[in-house]
Amino acid sequence: MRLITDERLTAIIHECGEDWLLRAFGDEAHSLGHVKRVIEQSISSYGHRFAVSRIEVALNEEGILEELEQNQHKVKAFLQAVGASSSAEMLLMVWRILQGDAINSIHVTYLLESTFRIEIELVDQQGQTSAFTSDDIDDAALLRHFGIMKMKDQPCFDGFYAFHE
Amino acid sequence: MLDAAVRAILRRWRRAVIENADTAETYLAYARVPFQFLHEIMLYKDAESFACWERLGADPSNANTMIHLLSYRRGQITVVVDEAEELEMSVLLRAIQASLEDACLRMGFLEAA
Repeated sequence: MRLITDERLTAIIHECGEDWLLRAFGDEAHSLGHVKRVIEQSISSYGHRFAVSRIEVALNEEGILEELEQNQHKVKAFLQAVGASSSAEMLLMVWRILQGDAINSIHVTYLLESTFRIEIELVDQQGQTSAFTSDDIDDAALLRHFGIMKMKDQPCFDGFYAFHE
Repeated sequence: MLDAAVRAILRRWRRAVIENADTAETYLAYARVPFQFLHEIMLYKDAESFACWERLGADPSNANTMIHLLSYRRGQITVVVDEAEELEMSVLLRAIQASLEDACLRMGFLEAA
């Protein structure tokens, strides 16, 4: 049985203050359908790629509802990512960062009106790395959400944060 | 904001023990911390430091092995440490401040640290 119906998804979007998503891809029905499809694809990809663990909250309907209850700012950030990217792979990357993975490396290849490619490697708390790639420049918008700091004067991207939390 | 501060600390103290300062509940990992409900968090450098604090409390031997974060007002965090000038702690405090400034910019206001 589905835990996140259309009505529930609309309520979650509203609860997180991301109502713009319901107008971002056409009328409300089309926008909701798009958001739902992208989330479902991400959930499916997550299930194929990552095992359920006690350490992280898995990207599935239960996980989204759990985070909504305990860490709404993370669901808000994830919804903003859904608004920026239709790539299941990129959204997996976002969810993994929200669950604590560190951003180990970012490689961007860009040639004006010719080439875009981004490769992001994450490392989890056990030291396992996972790579995520995209050839769609729209996905570069996700980089705006990365936390930026210096650690011992060395560069450090860390975390994935919502705007206007 | 607490989330960003905790993450900054975890980048340096990778095996930190995270504790709800109100209830003394500890969490299995960062992902299991319910930030929505927390106003005060204590991060111990590692399990050994946590055990020492349990045993001795605020003993001089435990200096700078625990960071106390308090957040009761949106956009503001208080960070309590023993010796802010000590090298390791000053690195951590600078990282926390940078991550909070970044978070404040994203949130649309800047009155950080």
